[in-house]
Order: sequence, then structure tokens, then C-alpha cells
Amino acid sequence: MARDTKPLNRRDVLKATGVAGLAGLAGCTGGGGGDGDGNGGGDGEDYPSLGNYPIEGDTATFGFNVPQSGPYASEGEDELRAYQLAVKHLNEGGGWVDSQFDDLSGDGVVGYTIDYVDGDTATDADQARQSASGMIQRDNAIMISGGSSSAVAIAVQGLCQNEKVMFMACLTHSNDTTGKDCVRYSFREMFNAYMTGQALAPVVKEAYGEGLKFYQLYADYSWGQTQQASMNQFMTDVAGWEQVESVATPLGTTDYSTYLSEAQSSGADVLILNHYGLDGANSIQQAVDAGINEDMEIIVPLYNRPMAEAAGGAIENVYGTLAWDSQIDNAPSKEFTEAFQSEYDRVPSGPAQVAYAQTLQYAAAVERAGTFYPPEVIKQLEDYEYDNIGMGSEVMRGCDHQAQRDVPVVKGLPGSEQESGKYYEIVNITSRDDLGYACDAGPAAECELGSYE
Amino acid sequence: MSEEDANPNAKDANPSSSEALVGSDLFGRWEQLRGREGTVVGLTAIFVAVFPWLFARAPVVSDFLQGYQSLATLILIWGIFAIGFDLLLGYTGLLSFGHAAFWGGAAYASGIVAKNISGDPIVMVVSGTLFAILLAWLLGFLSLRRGGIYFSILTLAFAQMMYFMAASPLAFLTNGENGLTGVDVGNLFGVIHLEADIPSIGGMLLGTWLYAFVGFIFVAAVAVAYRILNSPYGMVFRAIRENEQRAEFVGLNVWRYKLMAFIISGAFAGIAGSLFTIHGAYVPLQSLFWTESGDIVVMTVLGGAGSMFGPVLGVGVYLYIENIVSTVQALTIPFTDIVLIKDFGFYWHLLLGIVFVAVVWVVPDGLWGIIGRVRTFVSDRMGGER
Repeated sequence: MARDTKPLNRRDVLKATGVAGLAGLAGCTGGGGGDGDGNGGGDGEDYPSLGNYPIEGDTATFGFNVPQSGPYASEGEDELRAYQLAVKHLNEGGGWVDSQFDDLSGDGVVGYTIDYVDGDTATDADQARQSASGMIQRDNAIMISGGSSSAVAIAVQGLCQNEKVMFMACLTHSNDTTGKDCVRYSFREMFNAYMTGQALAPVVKEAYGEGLKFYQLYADYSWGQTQQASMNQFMTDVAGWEQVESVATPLGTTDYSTYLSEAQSSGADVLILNHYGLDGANSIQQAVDAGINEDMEIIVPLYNRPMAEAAGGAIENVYGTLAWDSQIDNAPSKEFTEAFQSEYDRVPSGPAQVAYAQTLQYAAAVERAGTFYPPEVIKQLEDYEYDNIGMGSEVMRGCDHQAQRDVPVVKGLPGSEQESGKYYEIVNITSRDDLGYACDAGPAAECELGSYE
Repeated sequence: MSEEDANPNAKDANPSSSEALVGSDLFGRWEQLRGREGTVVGLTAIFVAVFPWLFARAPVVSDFLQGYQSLATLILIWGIFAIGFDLLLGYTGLLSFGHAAFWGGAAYASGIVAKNISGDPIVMVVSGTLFAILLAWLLGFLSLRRGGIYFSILTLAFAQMMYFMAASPLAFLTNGENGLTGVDVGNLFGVIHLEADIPSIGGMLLGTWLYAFVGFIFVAAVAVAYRILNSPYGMVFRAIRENEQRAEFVGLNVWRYKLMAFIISGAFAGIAGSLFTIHGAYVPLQSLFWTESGDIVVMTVLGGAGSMFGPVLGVGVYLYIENIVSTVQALTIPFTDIVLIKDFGFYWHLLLGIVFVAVVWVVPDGLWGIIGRVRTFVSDRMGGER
């Protein structure tokens, strides 16, 4: 492949002269440090070079591509903290490496020390790709992770497929990521808009009753469109509600008052706000200021913490789903919260947990494969079953690389009960058995993963 | 367009070369050669040939620069865009704030052609460029009715319309916010895989076939732009910039010339936009956004509007700061471990702003202006010695 000869030439000389020595050295550390899976010098010689494989030297580099500026900067910051923590645990042990991931030794990965580079996506697909291609070509990253927007994740995973570098998607919620834009080299832990609809419908049906009318506002771009379509589908089919209207609002709208007053006078009982990030914080705040919550129920399908933080008391009694929360009561969740808190003195957010889990998941797959050779790692992840990241038992489905997992449904707390890191209560963790779709149905029907090599 | 083919023998169009003395010494010879088309194109070709090596692979230099191959390609692509933009801004004096329409429009057009008809790189470039030309003709026809700030606003408005069209109503074609994915770029001439490395010495210098392809078009673009600018036709552009009314009084159809400048500029943007699709095998929705139009204005002014290579230099500096300085974790004093600023890369926007303000303030004719001044200084010295 193109990548291999280019960035190397200077070091290539070194490598060529001492290839035997180096391989032997890598073998020693591999056998000594790893759990034996690496099987010594086998790594590096068994497989042809592909993407950034084989790795030169004894350090493997991960690329963490997160929004460090722009509207999702605070989310990106939290993701990066989790990534740094994951790298620390992979090299030195601690957190889930000691307790949950048997494959990991806490002494690097198959004998390699883990290092990382980080980059700024600025929540912009174009810049994210530039940043990722710098990581791949200049820093020889073996794996890229990140994202806080579906457009960014889709753009970067497409690049990674071309460059034959693995992408472990962090926060991306669009159906398309593992639907029509899915790729072989990317895996998603986060659930999607479709599953959000499935998880919310029974909960709100129970809370508000049957036969209601609902009105939707959605951010006018692909995530908003798939999100509102999924909500319409499940509110109609599962909850037995009827949609009055679904109205598009331009992305980045700051004043929702006209849209909201139309919603208010529509005669609907429920208002669904398919907005995210700052848009979400604005629209819900303005809906509450306009007094809509007094005669209508409000649903925000996808929450995140910065959004809840910004909206404050406006989210009282508002239902939604989220990636993960520190209040979830099981061992992995508690351990992660503790580890994160002792490192950074703050409660981790949902995206942080996904970031941490995805990094360790990748490393564990490398250990099982005994090599960083991407096709082998991919095969280890496909249809892999696990129950160690605090979201119940999961499977990383092979047909579309979408994790089949539980989805937490939450309800916003009143302003007086909110405190840092605690903005909502968990009302239900919808089991994966009630969620998802077959490989030939829903978004997965449009997925063609592409080649391994 | 027929005037374009006229022989560009107007070498004294270059003001500095007219005062340069025709001496028998080397410097005089150089001054004489400097303005010639062959020299300009030749030097451009040499630059294109060694640039990726110096930037990404040369010992010491590339370690210092921290460059990488795909950025070198991207700089040339934006360079073509900037040369075209400068034809309009620097030479004709029209500030378009909607060039993203041509860049992004061509990117989408070539991407859609690749997905549905043919992924041949040449077909992609031709179709993207044709689309940009037609679009420029239409938008120019509508926008050039007004001058000055109204023209800028009109172009901006049209480009934003395109953005919203691509974002939502045409999402079935453009894939909306997610950007156009799944673009399969075919082989050049049916045999050359663009992402592959060029064998032997060519590979060491140029790297990939893609770079060679882009580099070839870049050199051709420089040659064409140089020819246009030094032809009588280009003289009219400058006349319009200097004084539109006088140009009109001389009997020139100013509106028609302005429209042609706009279309030529759109064509360059179209070539660059199509290459951008080939380079990334993807079209981001942001390629139509107004920030992209803003970027090209900043790049052009930063490098020096109204000069042939200034905008290309501006592109290089801008993209370098955006992609490489932004990843610097800590700024240290060279050859030591003393950290001056932690998380230096985080402030890249600020740094770019400071550089821009400083350039506009100190050298209003851009970074290229500095080079011009150094040259004048040297030529005065050389002249003085004689």
C-alpha cells in the first residue's frame, strides 16, 4: 500500500539493516510481557504489510480525533480524558484492564507500548479528515478513535477504510454510521436513532398513556431526519400515537419561538425535540420559557451531559436516552467512575465511557488476534460477545459492526435536585432483546461493509 | 475567449522587469529571463517536483517541517483554487465571497459522476470543471449586475443557497450532512492506481501518482493563468481593476470582460474542486459552506493578491498552520526541552489571526510582497555595484 513506503524511507534503512535483530527483540518483549497469545516474534512476519501494519519499533500509536473547539468542545474534552486514561491503563494497568478485560495484561499490547496523538475535529467533517489523515500518514497511527458528530464519524471511517486503518467510533448516533455508510474498518459501540425510538416508545407509552398526538421538530440534516423518522415509526407502531406534524428547523437555529408557538397551537399532546448539542439546549430552554411544558409533554430523544448542563432545570420530567451514565448500578460502571474520578476529580460523561470502552475493546481484540494486522483484529471483533463495559451482555454484530446492547432511558431531574454530574434519573434500561433489527432489516439492510484488505 | 490565444509577447507587462537593466552579467540575465513564460513554468515544475520530498521525506528538513504527503497534494489543489481566485480578486478587482459554490459544486459534480457514470479521474475533472463553468456563467450573469459590496453579497447568497440545497432538498443526491461517501476513483488511463507510489526516483521525489497527476495540472494551471494575465485580454482585466469607467470609455465592454474573468476564475475553482474529490474520495458538505469562501479570501490576501504565486504561498502557510501547527503539543525552544507554551496547537486559530493581521498591517501586498521587496533591494544593490 501507498502508506508503507512513504513515511518510512528514512527509518526503513534502519529497519532493513537490523530487521532480524528488531524482530527478535519484539519477540522477546512480546513473549515476556503479553499473556502468551502474542507468541513471540510471530507478530510482524506472518502477515503482509497493510495500512500502517507492521508497526516499526516497539511503540504502537493510537490517534484520538475529538472536537477540541466548536460547539462540542466540552464533550470532546471529556472523551480525550477517557482516552488518556485508557492508554495509561493499557500500559500500567488499572481500571477495567485489571478487573474486566482478561485479555489485557496492563503491560502494553502484544508487547508494544501504547502511545497516542490527539487532534481537533472542530465538529467539521473536512477538518476531521485532514486531522485523521495526518495521524495516519505522519504519525503512523494503527487505530483512530473519536467523533462527536455522525457526519464526522462517517467521513473519518470512510477515510480509514481507504487507508486500511481501524476506526473505533465513539459518539455517533445516526442510523447511517452502521447503515448505508457503514465500513469494514469501523465498529460502533453507541446505539443509534432507530434504537432510541424503540427504547423510548414503551416507556413514554406507559408514562403518558395511549392514543396521544405528537408534534416533532427536528434539526434539518441527516441525523435529525433519521431521528425524526425513527421516532415517528415507533411512536406510531409501538405507543399507538399519532403524528400531527414534523417540522424541520435549520441546523444552528438560535430562536425557536415561531416553531414552538406553532407546535403549541397544533393541539398535540406531546412535543418531540430532535435537536442535539447547543441546539437541543436552546430549543428545550425556550420551550419551557414559553410554558409549553405546562400543557404538553416534552421528549428529547438523545441527551448528553453538556446539553443537560446548559438547559438546567428546563429538563425536569423530560424523557430521553443517553449513552451511559455514572449512576448505572453495576461493577464495570462503578469501577470506571472511580478510576476516572480519582484521575481527574470529576464524574465521567456517557461519551467518556464509550471512548474508554472502545479503546480497551480494540486492544483486547489485538491481544486475542496476537497481532495488529487489521483483518485479524476485525475478525476478532466481529460477532464478539462481551459483558464487561457496564451495559449488560452485548454482541458486536458482524453483519453491520453495530453493538447490540441495552439502552438507558432517563428522565430529567428538577433544577433543585440537580448537581454536578447528576442531571437525570434512570427510569429504565431497555434490554437489547427488545431493541435492534435483523441484519436484513432496518438500517442494516443498506449496509455493505467492504473489503478486509 | 479568442483573445486568450493571442501570443503573449507583452513581457514588459511586468513593471519591475522594465526597469531592470539589460546587462551582460548573470543577474541581468536572470532579470531578463525571470519574466519569460518558459522560466516561470519551468521553475514551477521544479518546485512541484521537489516540494513533497522536502516537505515529507527529506532528512532534517522534513523532520523540522513535520509535513506529510497528502498535505502536499492538498496544498497544490488549494493552490490551483487560489490562482483562479486571484485572477478575479487581485487582477480584476472583484471580491467574490461565494467561490465555495464552484469549489464545492465541482467537488459534488465530479463525485456524483464518479458514483453514477465513471470514476475515471480525467472524466471526473472534466465534468466537475464543466459544471463549475456553467455555474459561474449563470451566477456571474446574475451577480455582476451589481458592483462592490453588493456583488460580494450576491455571490455569498448564491453560494449559501447551494449549501442549503445540498444539505437538505438535494440530500438524496449529495447524502446531506454526512457528505458524499462511497466515491470510487478509478485508475488513471485505466491502468495507474492513483494512490500507489511511483517507482524509483520519481517515487522518492513525488510520492504518489495522485500527486503527480495534481502536480501536472498545477503546472498547466500556472501556465494558462500566466498566459491569460500577460495577454492583452489580461491587460483589460487590470484596466478594469484600476478604473472601470475609463475602461468603458475606451470602448471596452467591461461587463463582458468581468463575466469572462468570473468564469475563468470559476473554472480554476472547478478544477481544484474536482481534484479535491479525487484526493479524498469524499465530498464534505462544508465544501459549499461560506467559511470555505472566506478561507480562500484569507489565503489569497495573506499570500498577496495581485501576484501570480502569492496566493499559493498563502495557501501553504494557511494549511500548514491549520494542519501541522495545530497538532504541536508544546512549543519548545528549538534544540532544547524548555517548554514555552503548553498545548500550543490549541491556539492555532489565534496564531493564524495574528499572522494575518501582522501581514495586512506590515506588508499589505502579502507574504509574496516581502519577497518582492527583497528582490528590489538586491537588484538595487547589484545595480549600484556596477
